[in-house]
Amino acid sequence: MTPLLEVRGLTKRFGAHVVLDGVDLDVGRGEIVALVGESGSGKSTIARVLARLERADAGRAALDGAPFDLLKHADVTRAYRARVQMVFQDPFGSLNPVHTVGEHLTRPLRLHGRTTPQGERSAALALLESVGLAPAAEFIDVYPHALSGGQRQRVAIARALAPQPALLIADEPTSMLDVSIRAGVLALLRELRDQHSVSMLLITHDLASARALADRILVLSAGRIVESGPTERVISAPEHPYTQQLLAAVPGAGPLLRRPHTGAPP
Amino acid sequence: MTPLLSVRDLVVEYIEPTGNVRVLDGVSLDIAPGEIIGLAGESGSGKSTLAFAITRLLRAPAVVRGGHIAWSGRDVLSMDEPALRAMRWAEVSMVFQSAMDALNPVLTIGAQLDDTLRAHGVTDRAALDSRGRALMALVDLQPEHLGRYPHELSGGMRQRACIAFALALQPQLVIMDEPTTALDVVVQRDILQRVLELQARLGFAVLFISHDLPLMLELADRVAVLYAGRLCELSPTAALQRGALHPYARGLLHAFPTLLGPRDAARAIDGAPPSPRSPPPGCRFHPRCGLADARCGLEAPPWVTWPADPTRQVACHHAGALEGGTP
Repeated sequence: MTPLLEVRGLTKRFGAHVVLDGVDLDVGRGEIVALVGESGSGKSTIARVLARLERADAGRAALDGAPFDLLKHADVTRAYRARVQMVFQDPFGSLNPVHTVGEHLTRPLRLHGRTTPQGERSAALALLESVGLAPAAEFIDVYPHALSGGQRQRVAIARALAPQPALLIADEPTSMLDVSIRAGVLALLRELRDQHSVSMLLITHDLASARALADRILVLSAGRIVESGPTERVISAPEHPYTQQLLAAVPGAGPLLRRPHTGAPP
Repeated sequence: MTPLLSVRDLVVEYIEPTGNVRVLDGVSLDIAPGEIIGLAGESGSGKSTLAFAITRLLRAPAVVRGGHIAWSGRDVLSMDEPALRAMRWAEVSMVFQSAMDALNPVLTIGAQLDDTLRAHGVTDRAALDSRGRALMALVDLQPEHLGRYPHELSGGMRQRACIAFALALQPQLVIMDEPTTALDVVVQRDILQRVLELQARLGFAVLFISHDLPLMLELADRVAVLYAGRLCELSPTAALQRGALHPYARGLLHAFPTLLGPRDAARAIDGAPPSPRSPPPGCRFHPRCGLADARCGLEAPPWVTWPADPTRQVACHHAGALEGGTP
């Protein structure tokens, strides 16, 4: 079976600086792939190229086996947007403050022909329920400012789901949320995959989040994939020194910070 | 031992046209000489406000409404400007999250360091130079970095420079407010390792403020957990790891995904932190708490020493219930 998304030799330069250097990646149907890297590794650029917000300089790609041109913007069709949707890091910046929650959802529903004018409110309510904003009637008419960060991110996820995409690209979807609620958003993403077979490309700097969610992990360093494999293998038996170094630096995982202790704490 | 810093019943409000917002509500905390104390809290919990209150750096619309802060026995809230200038940086210094914003972009690192040292009485050129080089060495930077501008350094190097600045006058307390949150994990680890080595050698105390509880557990002697402007629990790190007394502290300990154990073990705490503008009555955590009963919604639990272990303090009507213990 062909993978849902197939990318080969993705290359992107900003001036003389090569930020992506021949990246190959596949996302299978119903699969969650985590792309892990530090700042400057090029991980967000991959998300932006695949969301067609940026043009690539070289590379080939296919969605559902149908090739598309990463080098041109003109090639971005509504059909592509319906299949591939983005969830951004900042749920405060990604929602429109003068639109209600309902308006955020009915617009893509209409645009992609997922509802009739009569059915749009109930379709929006169903989307809200599916992201755990229940009872949905309490959320549909409010403005983003009345919601917590976690609730806003759920609205952003519901909006991305409105066109019934096959692939969600989630760029650091929990890193700006309060720590006490992050695990809830990770659990929601897992549930969306398990129940609706939405495939995901999770972009993150956090190996622990990647482990919690992904089936496979790709490790990106300086624009190249240095290691890839099933999640448990990459975490428990990393092969590349860079992956090993990243894992050892995660708080609570590697060797503890050495505290050269001089006396008992008071 | 006399505490270096003693905060008692501190209340801070932000004055707003629509009514005052109480961001710290009766916080009490001691820091002993040479101790690393972690202050854990989510955004809006008031953790940075506490740091600014301690150093009297709060600006309008924030005002201290009540409580006491004693620094080496001296009353900080009644200090005049000269006394504050003598205390700040020489005795208590700070490292902020954003090194780029903390540094002056149009001065070299060396020039900024000279300013700091001059303001506190080091004027001789040779002394400034040798002190500058020594401070760079302390944080694993090269002497050449003194001649560089902040934008010429990486994020990690800039934060190292900020740590050098904070240590320039050999303070007794360094407040670190999310010092490595903006950095990559490998750089974070290198820098914190260095901070721990320096702390052991120079003996300063650290107030380490962060939302990253797993990181804090590796660093701190004691951890204070702040929620919606009030402390929930303050415990020695090892005791907290064995079992939190407060349900929020316990929830936070389990909220982070890990690299060990079951993959989906992390559990979010239901609900979301309240807005400081409309905190719930009674215990501020009760709307999110599995143990809450009618009393929790009415009465704020007092901040008390835990009878079974006087090194721990907690504010919860059901403290320890999760561990099967009783007060």
